[in-house]
Order: sequence, then C-alpha cells, then structure tokens
Amino acid sequence: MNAQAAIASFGWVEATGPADADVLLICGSPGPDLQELIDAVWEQIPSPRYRVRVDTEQSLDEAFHTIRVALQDETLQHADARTRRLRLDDNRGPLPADTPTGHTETSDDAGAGSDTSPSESSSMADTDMAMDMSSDGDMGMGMDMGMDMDMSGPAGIPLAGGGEDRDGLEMDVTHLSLGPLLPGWPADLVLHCTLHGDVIADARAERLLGTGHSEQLPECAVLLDDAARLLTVAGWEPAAHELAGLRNSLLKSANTHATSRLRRVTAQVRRSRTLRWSLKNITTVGGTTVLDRLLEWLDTALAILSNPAAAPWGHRSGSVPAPTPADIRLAVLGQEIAATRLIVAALGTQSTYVIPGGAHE
Amino acid sequence: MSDGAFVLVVLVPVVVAVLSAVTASANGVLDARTNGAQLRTGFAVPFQETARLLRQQRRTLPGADSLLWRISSAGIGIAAVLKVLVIPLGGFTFADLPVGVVWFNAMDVLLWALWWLLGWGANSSWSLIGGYRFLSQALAYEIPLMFALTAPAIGAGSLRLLTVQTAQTHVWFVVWMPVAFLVFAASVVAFASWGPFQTALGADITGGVLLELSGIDRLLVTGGRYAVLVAGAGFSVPLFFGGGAGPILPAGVWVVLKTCLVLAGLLTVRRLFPTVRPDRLAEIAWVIVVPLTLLQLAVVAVIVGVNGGAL
Repeated sequence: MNAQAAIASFGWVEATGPADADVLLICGSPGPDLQELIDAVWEQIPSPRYRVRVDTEQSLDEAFHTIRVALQDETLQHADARTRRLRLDDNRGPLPADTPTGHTETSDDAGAGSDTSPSESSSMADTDMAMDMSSDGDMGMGMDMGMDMDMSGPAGIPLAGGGEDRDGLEMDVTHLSLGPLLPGWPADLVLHCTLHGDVIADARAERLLGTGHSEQLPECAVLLDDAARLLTVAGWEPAAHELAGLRNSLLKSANTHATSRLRRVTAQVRRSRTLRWSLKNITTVGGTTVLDRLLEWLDTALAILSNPAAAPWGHRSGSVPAPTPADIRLAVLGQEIAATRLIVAALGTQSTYVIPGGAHE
Repeated sequence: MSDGAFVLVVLVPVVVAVLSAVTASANGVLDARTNGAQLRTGFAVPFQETARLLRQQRRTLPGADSLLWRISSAGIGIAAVLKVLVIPLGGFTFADLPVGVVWFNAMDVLLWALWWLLGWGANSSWSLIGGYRFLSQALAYEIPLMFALTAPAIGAGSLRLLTVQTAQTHVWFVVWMPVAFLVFAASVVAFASWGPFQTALGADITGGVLLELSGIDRLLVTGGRYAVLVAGAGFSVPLFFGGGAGPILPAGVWVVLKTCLVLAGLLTVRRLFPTVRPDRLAEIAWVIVVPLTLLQLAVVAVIVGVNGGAL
C-alpha cells in the first residue's frame, strides 16, 4: 500500500496489465509459486521495461529513482529489446509450440502494472513510465505490501496452443485461472475455473502461501483500500481514485479534510442508482450483498476517521473465520465473470475484519 | 466534391486528432483534480502517453490473429474520421450523401466488427470476453440508436444531413426530440466504450480488449476511442443542434464549439456513473428505452403530420 502511495506521489499510475506496464515492482520476497508467475508477467512486458524488488518502505524512494534512470538508458533498453525480439515477434512463422513456453502459457494473463505518467519534473518530459507492481508473497494475512496492484495471474490455459476450437460451439468450455496477479484481487487467492462462455461452471479456490511480512497500516486506510478496489472492479474509476487518494493521504497522515471528502464520496456511492442497480442481487461469501459490504467499509472508515479515539469498529478479531476455499467456490458457482470479480473483491483483503451491521453513524 | 474540398479533406483527420487530444487532455485534467495532482500534469497526460507508447515495443501473442487484430486497432480511428466526413459545416460538407444519416449508422456497425475483432485477434481469454461484452452491449444499444436516428430524419423528411440541418432553422430538434438525443448520446458513449458502457475494457477483465495491446497499437485504440467520441459528438450537431447556426461566428466554428459542449457532457457522464454490468444492460435497453424511443417517434410523426413539416 505504501508502494501505491509512492506511485501516486511520483505522478505515475498503476497499469492494468503487462502490455500496459513499463516497470515491474515487486514488494517483499515472493515464494517460489508466485515467483514463477511474476517471471511470466515480466516476460510479457514490452520494452522499454524495468524490474525492481523492494523490501522495505524506506527503499521505495531509492528504487523509484533507479527506475527513472533505467527507463531512459537507451543502451540498456536497446540491448534488452534486441535479445528478446525473437520471442515476441516470430510467432507468425513458427508454430506457437516453438515459442518459449513461459510466454505461451501465460498468454491469457494480465499482469499488474502501473502506468506512469511522468511526474512534473522536466527531465522526464518525453519519457513516460509505467510501474508495474506485483505484490508478492508476503501475505500472511492476505495482505502484502504491494497489495493491490493489478496483477494477473497466469492462467494455465490449455488452449493456448493456437489450434483451439474456433468454431464457436466447441469453444464453450474453457479453463481459466483467476488470480493471484490481477487488479483488485487478493494476492494469495487463485481460482481455477471451468467456464461455459463467461459463466463459471466449476471452480476450485486455492490459497497461495506467502512468505513475507505484512505492512503495519492504519485500519482506516485498509478499509478505504478495500473499497477502492471494489469500486475499481465495479468500474467506477473516478470514485475509486478519490478513495485511493484519501488512502494515500492517510498513510502520510496528512488527513486534511479527509473526513469531509470521505463523507462526500460515501454519499455519492450511496446515492448512485446505477451502482445499486448494477450490483443488485450479487451476494458475496456470508450472504451480504456486495453493495452493503462496500457501504459498511465506507461507514466504518468514516466512523474511525471522525472519532479516532473511540474506533469501536473495524478491530481485527480472530472470531470470524476467513472464508474458506469451499465458501468461495460456492459463492462463485454459476456466476458470470464480472459478478465473480465483484464477489471476490467484496471479500476484502482483511477478511478477518469484524464489521458490525446496523446503523452506526 | 470540388477540387478545393479534395485538398481540405486531408485536414479532417488532423482536426479529429486535435479534438481527440483536447478531449483526452480535458479528461486528464478532471482526473488530476480528483486525484489531487496538479492540473498541468493532467493536461499533459495524452502527450506523455503518446510519447511513451511510440517508444514501446509492439507485442503479439502465440496464435494471435495478427492481421485482423492490427486491422481492428487501426480501424477505430478511421471509422471515426469517416463519420466526420459527412458532417456539414454550415452550407459546406465534404461528402454530401443523400443518405448521410444511414452512413453514420453504417460506420457504427463497422465499430461492432472492429471492437469484436480487437477482442478476437489477441487470442486471449480476457480480450475475447471483452469482445463479446461489446457485442452484447451493442445488441442493447443498436436498436434504440436506429430509432433515435430516425427521429431527426422524420422531422426533416430527409436522410440528407444538409436538409436535416436546415429543417432546424426555427427550433432545434433537441427541443422536441429530447429522448432521441439522450438515446443518441448514450449510444455514442456505448460505441466508444466509454464511461458507464466501458465493460469491454473493464478493470474486472483487466482491460479486456485493451489488455494485450502495447506500443503503437495501444495508441491507435485509445486515441481512436477519443476520436469516436469526437465523431459522435460532432454528428449530434447537425442532427439535434441546428448544425452551424449561430450568431457572429462562421458556421464551421459553431459546429466545433457545439461539438466541444457535447463532449464536455460526455466527459461528465464518465465521472457521474459507474459501469453498468453488461448482463444488466439489455434489460433496460429493450424494456424501457425501446418503447420510449418509439413513443418519441410517434410524437415526432404526429407533429410533422399536423404541422406539415418541422416546427
């Protein structure tokens, strides 16, 4: 999360997929499974590109400065582009099977990236950078430093071979893995799906075991972050950006006007008929609707913000178990992809939050 | 078309590109305001993004249908320019088609193919889902759009845009065809995959049809998307806003000014509304919007019949 705040403060943006990214930022130290996925994402990022790993918040700033230099280093980038040209371009000739397997297997994945627009500094005038943030394995509790960067996970799609059924009818059944590197997706969850069209006929949820540590974050920032992700997945970018901006200012503890801004966004979300209509009848694990969950997060964050001393809500508790893979499977069965993304986004990263129902405001 | 028009016609893509850049800048400024960044940064976004993408490698995927994929990424901007060609600037028009309104519709159907091929060509599940989402959205908006386009044509008794424009000498069509205009504007938002109707490029499918594009291809699609918005907004001017009519300034300037106002509205729509989920869209389009547009058509027909022509 601190990494995201840093991206914003540099005036860069997060990318939605590897094709859009210029930089792959890895936060923490990924486990072997995740490392494999990260490498696959890296493989898909077009040159010029740069990859960097940070372990601590303090090293973020330094890493970001390296990124600037590296992306503008023509010699280095040319060398990189030359060595990989064959891999990216020659698949018109040889069969797909001849291309490096990493690439083939991951052809359907999105990676996470962030696309940066270079900040105000004039030295960057003609270089745009994107940052791709991958968060890795450090999520003991489902949170890692880079947590919500957009990442996408390699879907080990069996039909990536190129000879797949193209006749419409037979193509109906496909297999796709959702996560763990996907925008607005918990970084430790993988959902192996069997799709009929874009409806999930069967699914198997799996938790990746992380190795790293999680960040110590203000609870309010975590709630705002969850809400921002959910709104991103629901497709309300401006509102999501507003919440992400609030989250970043909370991390810097510069919460000037934070309460009134949050109150305004919350009211806007609550009022939106389009959102209500678009999200209606989608229930996440535990029977709460997605919209209710979103409003609960926002209300809780608002309560904490306006009365930091009391903070009676939103404390973490071990008494509510995190949703098990079986719960998640049941919740997404028979749902369409868009609904599935919403359901998973509504789990939040802190699935162990106790959030009281009812009116607290 | 006269010889002079042949020379001028090369300016059309340039003007469309400039207006697209202006639109993108305006959008960037609005975003910057939301994010608390400096407005100047937002203004520069499209130019920096262009520079970045021009420097970036193109990519392709195993099994990608490269020909169709590249055609579709280049085609979106071209379709927009083709739409703009028939828009009259006062009494002058590049292509005075007797069926100008239908031409617009034809270009719009071309966009169906292009967006879908963009999703198909990449050979990626996410992109393909994006392509299909666009199709299902198109099924929802196309019928209302066609009826909405019919309203000005009935009002003017012609499909020729110059005639449609002159029929509004007294009262602009937007005044007595508000529903048709709203449906038209919503369809522009939809065929540009913009704002509430951007499910084909949704974040929930990690960018959908845009996901696998990089470099120049991505630039053409994102730029083309703004160009389509510009073309749609521009087309609403002769249809609903009296074309180049206006005091003091030349007609061409009025057309551009009115286009910019409509564009501002379209940018606002993106900020006010969340994305409408694709599987919910057809419901509202067919159950509510189609009857409303038919009602609008009936009203227009009765007015024209009683009045013996446009108001």
